[in-house]
Amino acid sequence: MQNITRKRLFLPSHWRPKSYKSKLLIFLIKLSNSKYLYTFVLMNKLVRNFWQIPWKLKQAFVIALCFPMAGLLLDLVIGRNSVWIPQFPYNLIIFLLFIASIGLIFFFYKKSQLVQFLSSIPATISSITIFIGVLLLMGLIPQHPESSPFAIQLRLNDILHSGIFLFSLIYLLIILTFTIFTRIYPFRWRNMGFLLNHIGLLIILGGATMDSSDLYRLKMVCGYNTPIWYGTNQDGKQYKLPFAVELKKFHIDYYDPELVLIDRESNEAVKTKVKPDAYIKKGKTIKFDDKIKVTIDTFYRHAFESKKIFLPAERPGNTQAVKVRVYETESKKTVKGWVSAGSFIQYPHRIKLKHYDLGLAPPKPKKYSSEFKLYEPDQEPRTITLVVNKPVRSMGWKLYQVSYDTRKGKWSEYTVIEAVKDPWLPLVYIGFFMLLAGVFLLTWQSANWNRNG
Amino acid sequence: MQIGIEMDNLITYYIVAGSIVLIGLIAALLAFLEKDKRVPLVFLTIAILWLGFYIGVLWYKVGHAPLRTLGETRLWYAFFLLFVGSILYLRWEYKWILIFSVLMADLFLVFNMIYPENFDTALMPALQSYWFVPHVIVYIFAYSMLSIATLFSLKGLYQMRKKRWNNQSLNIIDNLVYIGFAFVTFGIIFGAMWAKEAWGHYWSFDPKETWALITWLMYLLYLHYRKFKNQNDRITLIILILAFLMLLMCWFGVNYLPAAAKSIHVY
Repeated sequence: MQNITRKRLFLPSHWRPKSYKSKLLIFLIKLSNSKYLYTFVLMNKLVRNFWQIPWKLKQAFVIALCFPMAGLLLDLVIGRNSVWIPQFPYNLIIFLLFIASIGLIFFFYKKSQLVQFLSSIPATISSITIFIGVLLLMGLIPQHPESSPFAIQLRLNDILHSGIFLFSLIYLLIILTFTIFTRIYPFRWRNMGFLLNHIGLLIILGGATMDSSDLYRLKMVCGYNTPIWYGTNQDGKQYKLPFAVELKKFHIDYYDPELVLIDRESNEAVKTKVKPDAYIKKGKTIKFDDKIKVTIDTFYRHAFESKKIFLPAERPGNTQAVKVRVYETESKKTVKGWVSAGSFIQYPHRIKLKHYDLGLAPPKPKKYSSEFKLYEPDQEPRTITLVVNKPVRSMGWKLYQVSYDTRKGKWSEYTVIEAVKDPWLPLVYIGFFMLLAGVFLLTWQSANWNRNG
Repeated sequence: MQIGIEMDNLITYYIVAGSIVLIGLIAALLAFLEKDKRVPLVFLTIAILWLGFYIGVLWYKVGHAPLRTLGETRLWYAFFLLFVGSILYLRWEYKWILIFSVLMADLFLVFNMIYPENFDTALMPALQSYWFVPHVIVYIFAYSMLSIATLFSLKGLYQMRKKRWNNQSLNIIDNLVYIGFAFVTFGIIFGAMWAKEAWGHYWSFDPKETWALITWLMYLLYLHYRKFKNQNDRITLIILILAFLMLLMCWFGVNYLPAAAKSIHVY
């Protein structure tokens, strides 16, 4: 109402007339340029200031949009797409300060309209929607350096490390934290599910954000009988580790190979109408759409070619080889011969049929593991085995089997492992469990409400 | 009788799936005719047990939980759809929900008959984990819940057009979404814990993970929008349908997305 005393006689552009009738009225008033009529308009609330409190969904969306926009602007002005999050202890201090300041604002200005807005449903809806929008960009635009030029220009090919992401996350966190405070004080037991959910989510988001600067993921390429005590991160930076590992054995098991029909021109596997169970087993007969019948006579897991036939031998460069009889319905002929997938020193072996080639697909790894000697300071060296899905702990680090020389397979001369240090993991897991407990509780309660009408 | 699942002749699958499709259709027809509420349920129970038995045998034959390929997850999806559909029918007597869930389950079973190549026995090392079964089953169960909620919202939009909308249906949608959302949350967190074991980090914004998070947030948006004072029922239903589109994107759309060409989740 304070705007009544304004001397200049025009309506501020951000005032929105409520309806077409009032629009017309305002137009007439503007024409007349009378001070009294202006007062009449304001007194009768024919126009409402867009930013007049209480803020609703529209205002919430405008505010929410400002955050990623500011982030984008910052990215473009500063000219780098990596948001910098400080390391421990500064990230923790910032996080705690963030929560404490929101707590203080909440307790001192609880009645203020702004605080009430920041913990309101419209604000929540806007923050979730904006965050979904940012994630959609991330899910639709390829997130790697070879993305489209337009995306690279706007730095949309690495949204995770952009201001857009960080700022929309901050808005989400602000709303989330305010909301949590409204339910903590005054505390009621029936808010338990709500609190577990929301605090759990806050802990997960906070923990994961702090993690992004304190997490170490170091690749270690380990050759036989060479102690390695350093690892390289994704940016190629080397770090020293408090322990050393020495590769002693590498072991790999393969699934039995599969027969495939290969298109001679494109050199790709042919898709048959019904995909047969083409895994090799001695004595088995495999049919490709009733046109080609293959009977397996001999199957060597480790073999070498010698003058067009294969002989069993287990040494570097061996390949799986299968002796087959192929019957083609069309030509009513039977062909005999060997097929193999080849290896790093042997060519693949195929049988020429009327339309296609019959070959053997490269074997799929079933399980691989590396045996290491692990040296820790002031301790006897111990033997550990790393398998995918079974990491091993050592001095606050976790070691993971990642890869090997896939070209050489069983005869790989090195294995690739990853050393991971994740200091915020316990916190994030606490958040996970709180979220799960909260979701369970809330679902339980909501189901009960509806049953009671 | 010996039940062999030789996928090269597929006859067993045709017999099993065909009989389930038939039983389901009979149950749907009986529910539609409304003679006796119990009779369709008896048929459905037989179909569910029969499909469950088939999945069990398949599990035994391939040597791991048949959950890896889309074809295998379709079997589970059909199983849970029949299950959830009959529970809803038993509790609230929604006959057309039963019909729809039966038709959807049948559709998935028939789809597998047409494209049977999705069965495979080789399981890559990253998938060999005790997290595999809980992660996928929880998700598939959630998907069946949420797809039925989506059916309700499509029906709601139709009713709005015909001016017959009654917002009482939102109560059952809420129930379905709450349960579905709880299961999606469990699925996503089980997935994160598994990723920690398999790949070294619980969240790396792999495209599949990004879309899973989008899906989760869409349902979160629905739950919050429901608490909004000036909520508009039409927008509520539209949010739910959009959320389901995101879910479909996450489930199999991701595999065809250029953004996911480098994903570690594409098998």
